[in-house]
Amino acid sequence: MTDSLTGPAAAPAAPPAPDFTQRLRTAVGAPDAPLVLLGNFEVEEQWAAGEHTLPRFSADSGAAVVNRMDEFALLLGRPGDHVVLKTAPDPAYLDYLTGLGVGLPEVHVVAGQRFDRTVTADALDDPALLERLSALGASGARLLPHGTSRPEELLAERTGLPLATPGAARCKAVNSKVYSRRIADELGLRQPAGWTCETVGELAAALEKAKGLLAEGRRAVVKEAYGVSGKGLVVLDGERRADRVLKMLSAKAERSGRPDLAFVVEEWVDNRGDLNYQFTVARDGSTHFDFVKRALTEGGVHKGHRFPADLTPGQLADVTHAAARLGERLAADGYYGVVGVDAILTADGGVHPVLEINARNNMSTYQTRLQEAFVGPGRAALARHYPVRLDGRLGFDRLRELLGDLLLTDPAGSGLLVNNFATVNAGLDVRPGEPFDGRLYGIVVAGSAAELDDLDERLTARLQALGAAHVH
Amino acid sequence: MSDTTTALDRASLVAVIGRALGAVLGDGLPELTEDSRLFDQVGLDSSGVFELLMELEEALDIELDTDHLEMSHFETLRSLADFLITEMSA
Repeated sequence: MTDSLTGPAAAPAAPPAPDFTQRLRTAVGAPDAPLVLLGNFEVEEQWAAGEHTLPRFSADSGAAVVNRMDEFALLLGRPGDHVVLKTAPDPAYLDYLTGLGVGLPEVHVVAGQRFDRTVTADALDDPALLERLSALGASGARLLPHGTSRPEELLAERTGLPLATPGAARCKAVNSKVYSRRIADELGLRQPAGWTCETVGELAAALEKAKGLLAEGRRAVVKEAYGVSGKGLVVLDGERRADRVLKMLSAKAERSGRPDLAFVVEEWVDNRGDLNYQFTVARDGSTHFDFVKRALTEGGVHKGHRFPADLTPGQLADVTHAAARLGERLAADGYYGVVGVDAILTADGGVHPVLEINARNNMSTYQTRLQEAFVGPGRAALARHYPVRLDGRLGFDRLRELLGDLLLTDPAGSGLLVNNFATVNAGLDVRPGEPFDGRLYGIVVAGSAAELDDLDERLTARLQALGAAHVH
Repeated sequence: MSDTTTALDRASLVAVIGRALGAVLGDGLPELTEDSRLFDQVGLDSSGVFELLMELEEALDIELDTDHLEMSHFETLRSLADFLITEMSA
């Protein structure tokens, strides 16, 4: 829930580097084309469609919030671009952003959003919107989804809007954890002991090896190849659980008549910190390292990421080396665009630089532009979401009133910069008339780390005291 | 499916579910009642469901048919208890 961002130390003036959004456009081969942005978060669900998975369910309220993360895409676009959203942004929120000098893309709203489906599914169900998008396609625009799966490909086909990403099959393939284990081995990148499994026999053999780890007092994890980060996995703490997983997945494979599986089994490594780094692969095969952030935990609960990641020179070198090698390898396999990688710091002070590859946009991707604009040299920032529970719709005007001077309103000042407001009211229609949970995403910007902590505490207190929401 | 637990009374079963939730979610569980909503109020998430199932299977010495699980079974502590009672008496 928390990302801490710090601007670089003041440095001698240098020629301005292209900003992230321009670099991204150039990388995907569309430096001057208008983009049509689509925030189809948890695209992994589509990549996993038809695969054998561990049993899992999600609550409607959770899905509603995830689907409204579509509004992040608003902040990846600039004037001249377009963004498709599930509902029109709160006009007061748009005024707030433009008041800060944030140039925004033109918003296209789907005709009949449903809280339980992605913005892509909503768009495919809206003939008038498809016509408008077709016109944009005819005028040279490109479609840039959060991640590309079959529905986004279908949207591209039905509108004639060319994708600014590789096709769904390529994107799915490079997102597989089977793929990332294999290329990490091939590239000689350090990773936890583990095995890829594409048949029941391979899974059985891998689980036997995992039992060896368990016998030594270590732990192991079974992960779906296409699972969302942190989901679609089970930690094995004993042989019984390993046997149960094998029995369940064998039965699924047998009953379906499809014996192929896509899982990895690996050691669950005791880590000293989770890292996430991003690089951009250009169509010419070159790779640009964008950033590395470190996860923050509080009381064992994941709170987000911190930047800079406070790595030793050796750790940073391991990460940037891995990014360069992975970028080359992905390019050789025909991938281009944004890549986020999860990595961990190990107890011996080293790095496992590739736990999984997310060949799609990441949450941090949508913060990058704001970070460039508002977190200048010597400033600090903390990006997080505040969980909120509401009894009814909260308008941005009311939020602004509640937060008062704690809301960032001066680009050079301090305060909370809201970067997604749709997730606040996302659960409104899930159980009409009942209280609902939402998330207020923002980046707290301050002049120092101490001011940042103070602002964060005051923001939390203000939300609680005014009773508009309560933080769990 | 074991039949050794079919005589388990409901209160004991609810206590078993509470302990299983504690094992999956750790400290800080809210006070549980049969009306507690597992996702919205207790904090269960999609990946926790599988762990919860494993904990319950191990605690009750049963094996559930995971092909027939439905989201509605995990709506509340009550619905989960009802589901387990049905499974154990099948």
